[in-house]
Amino acid sequence: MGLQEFIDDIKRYKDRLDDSANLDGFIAEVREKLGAEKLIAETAKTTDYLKAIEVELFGKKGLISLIRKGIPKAAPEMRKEVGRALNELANIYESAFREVSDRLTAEEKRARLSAERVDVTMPGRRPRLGHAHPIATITDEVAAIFQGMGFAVAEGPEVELDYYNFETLNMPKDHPARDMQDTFYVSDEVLLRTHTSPVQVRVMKNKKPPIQIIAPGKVYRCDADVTHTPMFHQVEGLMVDKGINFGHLKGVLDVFVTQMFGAGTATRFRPSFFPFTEPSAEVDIQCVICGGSGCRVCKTTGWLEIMGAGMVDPEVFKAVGYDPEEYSGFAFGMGIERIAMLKYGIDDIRLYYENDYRFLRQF
Amino acid sequence: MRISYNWLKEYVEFSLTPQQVADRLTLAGLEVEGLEYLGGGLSGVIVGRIASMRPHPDADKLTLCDVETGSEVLPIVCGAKNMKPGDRVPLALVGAKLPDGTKIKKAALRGQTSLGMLCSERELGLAKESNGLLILPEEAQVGEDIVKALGLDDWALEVNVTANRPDCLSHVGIAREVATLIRKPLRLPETAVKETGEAVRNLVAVEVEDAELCPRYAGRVIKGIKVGPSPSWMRTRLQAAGVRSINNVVDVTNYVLMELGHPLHAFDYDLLEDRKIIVRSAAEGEAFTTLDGVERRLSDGMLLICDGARPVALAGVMGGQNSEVTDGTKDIFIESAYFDPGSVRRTSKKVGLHTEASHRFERGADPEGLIAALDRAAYLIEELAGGKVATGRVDEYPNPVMMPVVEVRVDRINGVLGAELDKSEMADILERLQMVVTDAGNGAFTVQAPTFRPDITREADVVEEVARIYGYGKIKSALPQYAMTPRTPDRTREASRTVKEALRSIGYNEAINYSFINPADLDRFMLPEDDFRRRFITLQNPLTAEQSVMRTTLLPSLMGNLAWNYSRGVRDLKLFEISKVFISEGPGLPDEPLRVAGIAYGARDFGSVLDGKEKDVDYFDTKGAVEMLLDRLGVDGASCKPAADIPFMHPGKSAWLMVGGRDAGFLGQAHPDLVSAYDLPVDVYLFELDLQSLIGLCGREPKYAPLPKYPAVDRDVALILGEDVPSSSVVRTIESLKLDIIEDIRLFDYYAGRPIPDGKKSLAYTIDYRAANRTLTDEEVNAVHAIVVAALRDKLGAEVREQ
Ligand SMILES: [Zn+2]
Repeated sequence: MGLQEFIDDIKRYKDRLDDSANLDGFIAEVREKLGAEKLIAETAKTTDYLKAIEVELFGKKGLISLIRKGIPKAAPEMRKEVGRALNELANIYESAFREVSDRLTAEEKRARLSAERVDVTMPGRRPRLGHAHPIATITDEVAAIFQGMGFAVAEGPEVELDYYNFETLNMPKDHPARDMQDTFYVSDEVLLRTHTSPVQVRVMKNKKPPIQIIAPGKVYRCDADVTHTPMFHQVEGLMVDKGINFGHLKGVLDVFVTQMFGAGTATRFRPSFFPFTEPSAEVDIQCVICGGSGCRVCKTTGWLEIMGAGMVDPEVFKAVGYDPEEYSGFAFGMGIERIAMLKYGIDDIRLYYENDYRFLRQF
Repeated sequence: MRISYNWLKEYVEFSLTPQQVADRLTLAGLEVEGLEYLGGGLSGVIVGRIASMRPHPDADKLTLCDVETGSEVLPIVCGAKNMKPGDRVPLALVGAKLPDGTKIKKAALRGQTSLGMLCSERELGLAKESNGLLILPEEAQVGEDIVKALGLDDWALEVNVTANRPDCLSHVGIAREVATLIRKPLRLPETAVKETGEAVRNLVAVEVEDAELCPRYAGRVIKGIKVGPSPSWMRTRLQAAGVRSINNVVDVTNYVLMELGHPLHAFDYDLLEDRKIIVRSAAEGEAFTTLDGVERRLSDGMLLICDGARPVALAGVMGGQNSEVTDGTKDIFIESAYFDPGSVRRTSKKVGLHTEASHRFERGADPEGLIAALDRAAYLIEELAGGKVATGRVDEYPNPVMMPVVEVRVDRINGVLGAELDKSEMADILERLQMVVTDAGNGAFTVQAPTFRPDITREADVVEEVARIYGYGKIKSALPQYAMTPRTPDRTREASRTVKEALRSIGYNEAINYSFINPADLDRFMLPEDDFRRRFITLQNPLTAEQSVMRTTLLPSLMGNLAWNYSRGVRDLKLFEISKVFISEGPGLPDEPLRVAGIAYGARDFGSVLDGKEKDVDYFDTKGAVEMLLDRLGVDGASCKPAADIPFMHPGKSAWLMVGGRDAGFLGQAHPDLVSAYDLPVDVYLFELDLQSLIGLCGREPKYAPLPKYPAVDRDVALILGEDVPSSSVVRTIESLKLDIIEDIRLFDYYAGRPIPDGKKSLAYTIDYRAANRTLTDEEVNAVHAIVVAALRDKLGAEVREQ
């Protein structure tokens, strides 16, 4: 039996209703012959007839309504009984109807959703974000670590006076240490800064200790080959106060190294020479490529040189008007390109300044 | 400085491996940058002796040799011509390996069997270039491994000697450091000269005119020498130190240079006029031909070594051709002097000559040690080249160099280092470094460094020496205790970061370019002569013309980046850069304003394949980018003003960005001529803003406005306007009516083309009306809207199509 036949049956009972004086018996017959179990047992798979059934059973001119309209005509003593029987019938139909209806609706929804499909492996539609330059990213990371230790960021001119770049840093005109820094000159007295140290000098000339700064920025050296570009980036730091010592320099740089390269990265300080620090040190870190066992990058030594550092030379303090007996301080400086190479595994420094999109998009 | 491991062992006894020596030196501040086994890559090569040779029957260029190996005679086919029977030559046996990776196999050359190969210096990895076979000395043992025979069983340490340590520019200097580090005695080389000639004062007179620049001048005369090749032990040594052998006299001066570090110069005594040496300053414009054959113009202040008539050497830099030692030289005068470091450096820089000698003198030679070097050289020449050494030395040393006596405080050393060494530990270290240490009581002592340590003149220098030998590694790390000092935020850095984030969020990639450009770039930008961007800073010594001036605008670099990327197949690209530019302000330092520039071509955004082809960027994308970054910076009140007068910009699609009544930059489409000057076949859109002045204008704080309580009513109005009427004038016209229930005016449609007549465009706006205190009625809104419509009609000549 299909739902259509069920509907036909309802209609047949509705037609007969006018003749039926015995509502009580009629309801009992409907309940028996046109039982809700028929509705539930129905096997039809679509919701097409549900609306019609709803109308025929529960609508304004539906079977239930029509019976209800006949109640006033029934014998007064019967009305209550008839009303109760009708409500029972209506409840039976309603719950049966809801069951069928829910089942069919759920089945249809399931069928519809399973037909609606996208290829989830297709690329997502996303806004094309730009990429940060690796040098800028590393500079920010380095700065953030030192800012976390209380260092402020200072800046200064890139076209600088010989006086600030060399002379106040204990490198008078004929000093052989000037050979360490091939310099671009604009005139006898004006040059492109070869390091960001002149920023430190300018800060010290303008402010009394305590000083705790880092100076990031572009620097220039008259040198270009596979390992040198004529412009590169440095971050230098300076801390001056009473009682600052070499152990403090080691402590601060140990913090930097472990935050930058990971906890447990060993640091090694070894003597070196810079005219503006005494004692001077080169700072090596345990090779981040091989972990210290020796590889091509660390030239099998297990160590990578990443920084120069030292205690500020008393001559520098005298040049900026500090009393070296009262104050001491440390300074350090590192090349950002080198750190970016180690962090990202970049093997050619020229890539930094070609701004090739295929390079930039990797960062 | 290249140091031979075997040679080093002559002066100090140790059992350290080459790697251990390298590590000890590195941790003492003498960084060993390279460690190389000299016989590396060389195996299976022995000393062979050519027993006989005959021409190859079928090849003119080849010779058939029978070569003795000590145990057999092998047939070898050889392409070289410089050998003769009896010669000892390097023979690579079958199975031998050469440094370039070649493996020797049994071969047949034009039908003749060859059981090995005779080698040149180049093939043995001893020289970059060589002619013919390496002919070994007579005394070479036939059958001996060539690595042994050539002294290649040795290691070369490449030591990076810092500018403050001239004393370490020699084998003895490095040995002295090793001896200090391992607490072993230093063995100095033999300097006891056999003086058999006449008294030196009868042979040469020295006159130092400028004792400031030449504090000490010493010399010896040796007569009757025989110039010839050096023995193999010396050649081996020199080779290991990276010096080419020339003849026994020159080799001795070089040997002593590598051994003791003091530069010597040997003159042909018989070419010295009047047997006289005069040390004086050069006259301005004086000419002098140095050993390398170059005639040099000298200037005032350069120090010259002269004989009785003319200059014979540029003091401390290079000798002269006129008194050079040659194969025919019989008698020589050896100079061992001390010159003022600054003077040598100035001279060397000025004439552009950097030599082994000038390198050492400008860092500071040892005014006392020069005597040992002189005697050592005389001793070796007498031994290798014969002759009679004149008795005594000439030695002009009127004012002996005294090293300062430095007072050092124990507390100060520990205070600077953050260490707790006691006085005796410090004294021990300094005495091992051959310093004279005297207790001065009160926790202090005095230190006098030897004359070969010109770098130790102050307490701070002594602190470093103590730390260096004690070991940096033993000083404990600690974090400083520090008084908190509040800081104000750095607005420039924060604003730069905001701009970077804003631009990245709409697809602009960050570029960093060199600060230099080619001045010709400014011609490509068609800039007139008086444009401020032509006020650039020029480098005196640029690397290339392309990098010869400091940029005054970021755009040439970015245009270059676009061209680079386009030619590599990148079809859509947006780049930006934030950097200083450099505007010359006359002779002092330039102005360095911070700029931000962006540049783009190709598709507007990635989009997705699902959406069909993306549209290309245009003026409004660029303007949107600029508006967005201004908004993020919090800069209010910016507007665009047509700019037809920027030479490198499209005259109809460019604008000045006006903020606060001044232009803060420009934006729009690059002029097609500029684009084609960079070989780009695409439209390019760009902007360049004065970030410095924008930062000065930013700082808007968000301001809360209560949410409306009553609904808005909107009305649309479509206008047909002349195409030259800017859309901003519509808004301005409406705003000028000052109708307080107008809340917002938005352009929602733009259209030109049919059916709109030529020369006209259609703009449609939505106007929101709202009152703060009541719900507006239709009648009220209609009345106000009518005023708006009438104003647009009257003031702009707009044809209004009401909707
Ligand atoms: Zn490694």
